[in-house]
Amino acid sequence: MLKKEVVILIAEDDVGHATLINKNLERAGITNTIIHFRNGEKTLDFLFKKGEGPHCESGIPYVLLLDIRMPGIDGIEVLRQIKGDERLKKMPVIMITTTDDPRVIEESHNLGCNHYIVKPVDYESFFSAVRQLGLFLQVVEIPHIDDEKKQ
Amino acid sequence: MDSQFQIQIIWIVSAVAVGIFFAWAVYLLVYARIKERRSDKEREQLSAKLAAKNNELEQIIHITSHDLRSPLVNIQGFSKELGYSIEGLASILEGVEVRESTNLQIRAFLENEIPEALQYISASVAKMDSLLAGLLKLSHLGTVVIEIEKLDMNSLINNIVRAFEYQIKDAGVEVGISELPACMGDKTQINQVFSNLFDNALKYFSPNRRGTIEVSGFMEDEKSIYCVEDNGIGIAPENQEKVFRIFHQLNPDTSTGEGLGLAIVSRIIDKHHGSIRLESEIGKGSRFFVELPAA
Repeated sequence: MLKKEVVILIAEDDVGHATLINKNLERAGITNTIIHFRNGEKTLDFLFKKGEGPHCESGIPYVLLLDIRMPGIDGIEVLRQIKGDERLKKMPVIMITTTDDPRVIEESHNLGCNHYIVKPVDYESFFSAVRQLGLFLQVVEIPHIDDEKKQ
Repeated sequence: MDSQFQIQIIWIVSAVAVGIFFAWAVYLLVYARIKERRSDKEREQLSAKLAAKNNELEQIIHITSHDLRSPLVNIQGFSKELGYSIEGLASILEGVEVRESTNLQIRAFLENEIPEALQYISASVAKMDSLLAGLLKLSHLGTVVIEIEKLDMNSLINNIVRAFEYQIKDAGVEVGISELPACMGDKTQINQVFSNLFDNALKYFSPNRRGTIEVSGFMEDEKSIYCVEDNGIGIAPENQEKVFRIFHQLNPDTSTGEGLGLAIVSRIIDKHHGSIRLESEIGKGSRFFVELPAA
């Protein structure tokens, strides 16, 4: 069976930030499918297969780039639900956020986030952070979501 | 009988007078205690209220400075994107034949006007970001719990000198440290105080002479007093109080920081129930006196 390509999920309420992440991933040579969610609810609906929108598919590896400050369900809560779920907990979650507050970073790590990137206003560092992320995605074997395991 | 009656009356009057006096004294005492208790309680309530307000203010600073950074990411990010687009346009135009006068006009836009505008946008964003980062730093300072311990100031100052070794060598500065008394304080925060004072001294040396920084200390009335002295450009009397204000920079065009160093110093010292004062003369140098509880 052909190895399925990683799908990148971006949960980000600021469309501008999502566009910038997209552009920089492209510039770093990442051509994977990217799905953008504008809030925590939509992200959870997709992953937990709720509501009417698109849902995640079994057998496909996903990686989630997650902003912390979103209206409604925030990134920390999304992370908590993902890492508390047997089926989803292996999915890599990378926090991409403007806060460098050590308490928030610690909380994210305690909940089990795989990586934490501070969105720097300095564009060059942002670019290099996303490029590193691109390299990370190329070398790391991303586990896919497997529905059968759960049953 | 009359005189006996008189004596009795005098006794009774005196007893009543003494009774009233004691009652009055007791009343005054009780009143004073109640008032004292009430004012203690009021003071407690007031300081709790003040602490809550302070906390709220710090929260507001924290949230707004964080939220204000978010749009800055877009302004800076898309300015850079525009820059890339202009580079792309310029390289496409390389291979296109246009009239010489038109070509000159296009070049003026692509090579001067637009990049200049973008540069101003980027510089302003960077400035605003550094101000917001400063605000965040200050608000973090308010929430950190301090751990007071006995501090060996000789080793603390030596460590700071080691940390600044490169800048000290680079600026050709001579550093002298006398034997320093110990004090009570939070190690990280007191380190920050003296690092900022060093940083400050290193920033404002006079180009006309070799720079020196002297650190000395003595004890007085259960206080340890430290003096960080430099022979830099000095601070004018009218500016001496302003240097401790947030975001105040005496030479905004030449200095690199965000104007927070001494504001942080003063805040940390306040939290330690200490004090800081400054003696300075233009062209001669400055002396910062830091007073902390003795160990």
